[in-house]
Amino acid sequence: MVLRGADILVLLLYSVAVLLLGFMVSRGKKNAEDYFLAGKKLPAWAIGLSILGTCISSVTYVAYPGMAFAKDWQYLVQGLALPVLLALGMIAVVPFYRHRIRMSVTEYMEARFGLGVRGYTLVVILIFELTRLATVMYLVSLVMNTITGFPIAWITLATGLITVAYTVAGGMEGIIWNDVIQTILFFLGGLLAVGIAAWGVPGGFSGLLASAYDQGKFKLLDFTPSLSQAGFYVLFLSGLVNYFYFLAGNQNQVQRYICAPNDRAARNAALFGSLSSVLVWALFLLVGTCLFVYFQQNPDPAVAGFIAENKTDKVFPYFIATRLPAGVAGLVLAGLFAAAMSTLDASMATLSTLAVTDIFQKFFKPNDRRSLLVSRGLTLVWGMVGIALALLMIRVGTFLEFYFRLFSILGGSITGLFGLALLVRRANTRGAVLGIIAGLVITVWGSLSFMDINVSGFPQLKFPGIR
Amino acid sequence: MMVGVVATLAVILFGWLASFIFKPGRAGPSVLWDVYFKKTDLDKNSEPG
Repeated sequence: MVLRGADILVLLLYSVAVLLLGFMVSRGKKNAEDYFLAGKKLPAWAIGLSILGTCISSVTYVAYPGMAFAKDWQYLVQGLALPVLLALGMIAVVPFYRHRIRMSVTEYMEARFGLGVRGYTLVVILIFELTRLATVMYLVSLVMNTITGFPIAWITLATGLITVAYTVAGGMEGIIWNDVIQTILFFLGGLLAVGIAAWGVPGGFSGLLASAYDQGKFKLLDFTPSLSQAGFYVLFLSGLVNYFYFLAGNQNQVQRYICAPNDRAARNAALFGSLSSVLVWALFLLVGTCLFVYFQQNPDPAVAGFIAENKTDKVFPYFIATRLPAGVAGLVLAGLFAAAMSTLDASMATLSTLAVTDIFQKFFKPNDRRSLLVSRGLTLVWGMVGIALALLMIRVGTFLEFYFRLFSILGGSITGLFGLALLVRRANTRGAVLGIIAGLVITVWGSLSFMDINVSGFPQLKFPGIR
Repeated sequence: MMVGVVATLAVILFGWLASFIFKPGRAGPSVLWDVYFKKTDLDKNSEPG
């Protein structure tokens, strides 16, 4: 696809708007807390939209339509675990953290289990966020390359540098206000895609829904009792674990709870952001369902090729590139960038907040001015490291696999660690260390089974659910 | 997916059992239940830390 003038104009306007906003809120920051907690003065609705923006990445924008196109809505079951956790009382983490930590979740880990466990938590979160930063940057560049034909490295550099610029300038305040624009934009992108797909089908939106329903495309629940396929039980259990960490251990989230002026505003923001994520996931599954009916009624050889190659996550980018009118395609592409940037800025903020609170402030006791300077400097450094890793991913595929494997082994036990700290009163430091070791053993076993590797001298015992 | 679920449960279960065996040196400063039992006021004293 060659981008048309109107599309390029929309993308340029979006880039200028996010940069301007970042620089507009850059003044008046006196210390690291102003920079990382936005002066604790932001309204609940803005923080809620920011929480939503952080939940939705470019992966949601592309992979969810792909999954619904290929199959049905079963993956929404994972997201439904989020409201269930909130209903079970997990919203209590909001006042809990606001009253017990200053800025980072690792402070709580040290108070609970000592400095060593805090160090372990810090290393795992840093690896996780750095992986996410580089991967999201790489994936959005890959998708944009498919759509526009621009070189991947250029897209990576442009996405990375714009995000770094507004994040360094505006800190958490710049991030949250930019997330507001970005969240509205990608939501609008999803709605436009649904509308235009429905327009191209005889019978319009109701005809499209009826056709999809008749073909079982809205199927949500599959109670087949199996551990090896993603049915209801596996999806719901993994959703409970993922979203427990999301609500109670994710530095991005917790930092936003603390940005609110009081507990009630923080709780409302968390509820709004988390519950509306389920709606947005449903919207992007609906995009996939609409595209399925659209291309069934308007056959296209390229789409048939994607289905044959089992690469249905290419269908939405292809639809944007070939079916959307000039200007609208630019807006939907800006939505894709927005989804990526709202995740990237959150990762940069997490990395720099943890580096400042856990290392710089802990060991150097700096004054306010130096603290602010170092906060901005570290945000810049992490952003650049993320861009460099994303560029490296373009060149070295095996590195990416090693990095993912390392994270899955180290990160497997982090959710359990937060569960132990938050829910088990009797737990102590020795218990936490033995718990971490048990978690590591399980993840190494799972990884070896998944890679089909035998350890010599031991009988092969596969992890349940892995064939 | 199930590896993550089992690893999470293993950390909680082994951590809890090991804490029984090695008698608690110190109780955790606070767990989530405190928010309910001590009835944290949602608007008063809302400064963290």
